[in-house]
Amino acid sequence: MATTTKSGTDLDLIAHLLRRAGFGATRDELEEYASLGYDGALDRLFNMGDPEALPVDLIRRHQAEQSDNRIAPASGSHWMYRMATTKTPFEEKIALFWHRVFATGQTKLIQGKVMLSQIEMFRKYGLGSFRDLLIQLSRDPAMIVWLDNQDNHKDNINENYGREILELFAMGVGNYSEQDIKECSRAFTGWTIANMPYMSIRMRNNTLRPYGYVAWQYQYDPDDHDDGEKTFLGETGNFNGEDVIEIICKNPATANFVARHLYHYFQADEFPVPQWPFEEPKDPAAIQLMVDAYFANDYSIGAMLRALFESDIFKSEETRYARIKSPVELVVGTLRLAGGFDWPTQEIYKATAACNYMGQALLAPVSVEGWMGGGDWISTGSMVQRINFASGTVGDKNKKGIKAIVDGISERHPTGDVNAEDLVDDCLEFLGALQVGDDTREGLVVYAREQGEIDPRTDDGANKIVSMLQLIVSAREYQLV
Amino acid sequence: MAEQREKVLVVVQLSGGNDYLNCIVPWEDPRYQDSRAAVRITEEEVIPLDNGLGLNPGMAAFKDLYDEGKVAIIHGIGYPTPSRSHFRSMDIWHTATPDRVGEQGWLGQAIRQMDPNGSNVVTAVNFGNALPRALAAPGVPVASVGDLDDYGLLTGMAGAAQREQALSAFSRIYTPGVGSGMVMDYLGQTGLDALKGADILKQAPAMYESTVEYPDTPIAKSLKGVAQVHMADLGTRVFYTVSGGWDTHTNEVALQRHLWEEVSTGLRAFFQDLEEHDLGPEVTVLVFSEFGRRVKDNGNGTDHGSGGVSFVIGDQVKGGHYSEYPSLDVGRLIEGDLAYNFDFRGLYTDLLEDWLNLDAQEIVGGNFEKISPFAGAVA
Amino acid sequence: MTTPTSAKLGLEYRDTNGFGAAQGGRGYHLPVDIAVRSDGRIYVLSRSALNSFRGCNIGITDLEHNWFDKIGEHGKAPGMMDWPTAIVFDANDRLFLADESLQRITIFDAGHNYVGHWGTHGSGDGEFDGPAGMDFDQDGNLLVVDEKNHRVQRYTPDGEFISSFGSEGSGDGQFNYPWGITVAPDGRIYVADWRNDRIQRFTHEGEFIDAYGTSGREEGQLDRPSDVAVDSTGNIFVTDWGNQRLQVFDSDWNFQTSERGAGEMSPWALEYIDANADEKAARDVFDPYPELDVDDPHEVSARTEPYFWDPAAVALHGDDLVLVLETSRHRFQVYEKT
Repeated sequence: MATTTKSGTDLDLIAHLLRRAGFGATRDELEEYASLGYDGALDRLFNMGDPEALPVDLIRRHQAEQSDNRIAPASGSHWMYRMATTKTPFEEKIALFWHRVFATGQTKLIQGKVMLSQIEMFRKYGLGSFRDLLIQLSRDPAMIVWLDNQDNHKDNINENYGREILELFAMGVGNYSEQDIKECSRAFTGWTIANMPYMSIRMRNNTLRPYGYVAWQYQYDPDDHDDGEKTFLGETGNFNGEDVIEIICKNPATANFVARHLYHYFQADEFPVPQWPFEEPKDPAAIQLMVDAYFANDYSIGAMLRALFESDIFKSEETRYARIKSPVELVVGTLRLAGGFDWPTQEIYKATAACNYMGQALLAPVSVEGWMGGGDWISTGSMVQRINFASGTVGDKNKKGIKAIVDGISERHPTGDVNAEDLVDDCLEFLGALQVGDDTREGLVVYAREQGEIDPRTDDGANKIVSMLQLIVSAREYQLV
Repeated sequence: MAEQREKVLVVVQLSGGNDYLNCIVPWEDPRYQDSRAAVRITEEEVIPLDNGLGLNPGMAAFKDLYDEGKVAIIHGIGYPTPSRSHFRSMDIWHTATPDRVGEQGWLGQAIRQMDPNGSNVVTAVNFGNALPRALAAPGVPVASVGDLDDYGLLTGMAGAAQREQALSAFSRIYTPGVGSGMVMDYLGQTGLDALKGADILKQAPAMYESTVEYPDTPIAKSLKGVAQVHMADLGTRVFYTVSGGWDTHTNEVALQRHLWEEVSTGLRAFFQDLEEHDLGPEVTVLVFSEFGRRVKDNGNGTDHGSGGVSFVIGDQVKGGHYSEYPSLDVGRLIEGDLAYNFDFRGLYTDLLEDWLNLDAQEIVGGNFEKISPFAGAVA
Repeated sequence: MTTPTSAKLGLEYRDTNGFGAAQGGRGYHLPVDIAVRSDGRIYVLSRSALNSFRGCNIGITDLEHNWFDKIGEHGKAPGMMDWPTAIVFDANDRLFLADESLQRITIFDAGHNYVGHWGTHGSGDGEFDGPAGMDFDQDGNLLVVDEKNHRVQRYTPDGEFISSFGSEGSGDGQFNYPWGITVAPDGRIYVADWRNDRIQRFTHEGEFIDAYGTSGREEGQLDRPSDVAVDSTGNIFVTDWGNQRLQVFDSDWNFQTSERGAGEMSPWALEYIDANADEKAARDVFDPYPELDVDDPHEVSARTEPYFWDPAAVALHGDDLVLVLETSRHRFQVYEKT
């Protein structure tokens, strides 16, 4: 039962794309994207341009804790504002993707400022060549300190970063040897931060004193770099970090690993990452598609995703609603439907806290392995939080987005009487062309009937519409993306 | 009432790092007086205890519990290679794994041992919205309750009648249908379990009657919730509560006193309530913080340290001092901190084995020296 | 107006006062305004984080780093503060406090006792939406910057509305989320027209005189100026918030000097370092000015401890000392005119 627009575009398909490449869309946004056609909508998503988000100067002035961004609620909320208001949601989705893969946490780093700089780097490099991204990552102060590369010295290597770049970030277990880890680590000796001793001890002592944190600055120390000969993945030379990254990037295992991550995030829930060495990908054809794009386009992540989004695999019906929403997807998607973040507000903290309660503290993954995702997001406790956050947020009819939905439905029924079926279908459509199963629809219709007469032009009618929206965002289908 | 019920553990977490030295105060010790030139509990303020030690002036109500013989003070508690990061140190306490990032909470694993199939969705109740890592373990249901009086699903629904209708609609649309697939079934079952948990917990405040008045503080409100759920006899075995704000880098003397007043008066009311209902013997409370604080003050407060103090409180606890107060000799300090001399995993072993009757070794990852604070336990 | 003399006005760094005190006690936390009492005592308004309220108060110190406790705490009851924005003394040392969440002006007497408050949220005459800056005019009436109504309103000290000037826009006499205000010794009124990147000057009656500033990072340009102070000879001190610097102009807007900050360890900070020997050792080899690969002023300040980070307010102490308050570094720096 696909809905098509005047332009003939499949609205459900556009809605699917915007849920995956963004955080869902209001009905107006859907129309706007649909008018461009599917390829045009893709172009629009890939064009980062001006995010037109809530201006940072307004936030810094009125919520000073989001200027130094020291504490986690502040830094997390700073990103939350951007996700909830941006006109270029794909940029944030990509940043969130890399945040999950290159999981770094301010829980150890203590200061959120450097975490936000890392996220900004993901925005800038996240769709470019994987080579450039890995170079930036290896120079990123938050990553350096998160994985102790400031303790990786010429005469005494610390393998933490050298290991994780191979195991968790680029290749996956089974594609390199322990010796490769050592050689890789040697190549990254001397990649450190300025004032390392003082910065380390303040982090260790977890202290803002005397004058708040000093954000970190990447520094290359040639005197502490091991310039000797290294043999890495079969190649020999006096490699530095950049050389090692090139060798990693041209390895087919890397292309496969990155493709699988992209698949896991944008296409369908895969096995948890630790099982990948032992389980074949769920859809080898989808992986191959992205691997080919990777090698044909100088390791471009954007090209891989473009290939995926243009494929019938992605567009297929089975792909839709096949993934469980992460807490951030659920919270941001709901905030964007409700709207109203045109001035700094305390409400942003509630949204960030809600993500945390649901198990995804922004900028604070529990470990370097990041969030497992999929069924891991769902427990009795998290379900209470998910349902109450979503239904609570759309329950506020003073919010711009909710008001627009009520008005939109009202306009459709100028005579003032809406039958139960129409109410359900209208609400589903206005919530971003949502599709639900027959059982759910039937349950919603029964509820609508119980509400008696619904005249959207009245307060009572508006309340009934709002309560229907609340029930829909509490349904199982809303947990999926 | 007072039929034999299963034993219950209540955790009170003091987040931020309770300053050990100004909590259990070695007030006569000149080394204490010297190190704490500006941030000191004076002779006039301290509540004298015994063994040359005293209590923070905010702990008068706590002293009452101590005098009743209910309080075990566990000195110098900590773990090897201490971390001064709030998060990391708390995580170590939560997962009982100091040497690596632990995956599962110690209480989450305990709950799984008690109820392997998760048949009771309220075996563990956490007072607070954020699930502490201590309670987190795959497949272990935990109810996180912000406010017991207002706990449930669809709390943002405007009208009561509408909410009732919506809740029954919710239960219809979550009932797994035929052939809806694994993911939908899983979501359906979990949603219905969440609803069930809310329905169960909703009964507790309605059934509760007591003459005890709790102070109007967040921690006392949580402890009252614990009492309500415990008295409703819903099969809850583990309760978790948190008191925040203990990170006293500045303003310590005023702040710590205030916080201890809140915690002490809350705990005293809680035990009075249990006593009134003849339920004291079933309950033990663990009070802990992620670390103690530096020995030398910074002029206005104290900074993050290591060795700290924990408390085990209950009718079945043998009150008194356990382990030893770490030395204040400069030469015995580690990087300016009190040296820990008792591993917290030993205390967990006491609680798991001798209170909850579980297998502790697997949870704490080995054998650790115990202190045996319970009256019935073999030392 | 006098023509500028050949020698430009300079500034010399003198001192740093402060300490990050997120839990209250001696020090400041995310301070937003500073005021000097007639006896030279310095009052610092800490706004603190919106979800961690213990540092929300007015701390009192002096040039010798003495600490005289604090006034007020977080809360909504009379005498308390929620999102405080500004403080100012009247001629009798009564202290006025503005709060943009409670939409009110609170008054403390010279002994720091709460005596009352006034203010109504709205956009009508006398109502305000976000009081952001304050100063007394030469008649002893209070000028209040009404941020979200883009205007300045004048009241008697008891809150009786007298007049207002300004409206939303970028034309002469119009404002875009204005912030700080000062009444110069000659009675003229200066307003930091924050989002228009300029300072506007008005007569005592509120008639537009001139506006200075273009958007940018170059010398003499402004980016979101937060506050302004004027000395007895008409020199103008502007906290150029977005550019993270203090700029000084003579009374004809001729650029004099610019200061990026040179903060050092205050005595309170040294006491802290003494209690933490491990940090002290590392601090001894700390290079406060590392080479950076960024040029955004906010980011540069985040990475350079001595530099101003979010200079939200500027005040004169006597006629020779200039105090610059930095929100994100929880301190103020003291400069002397040369």
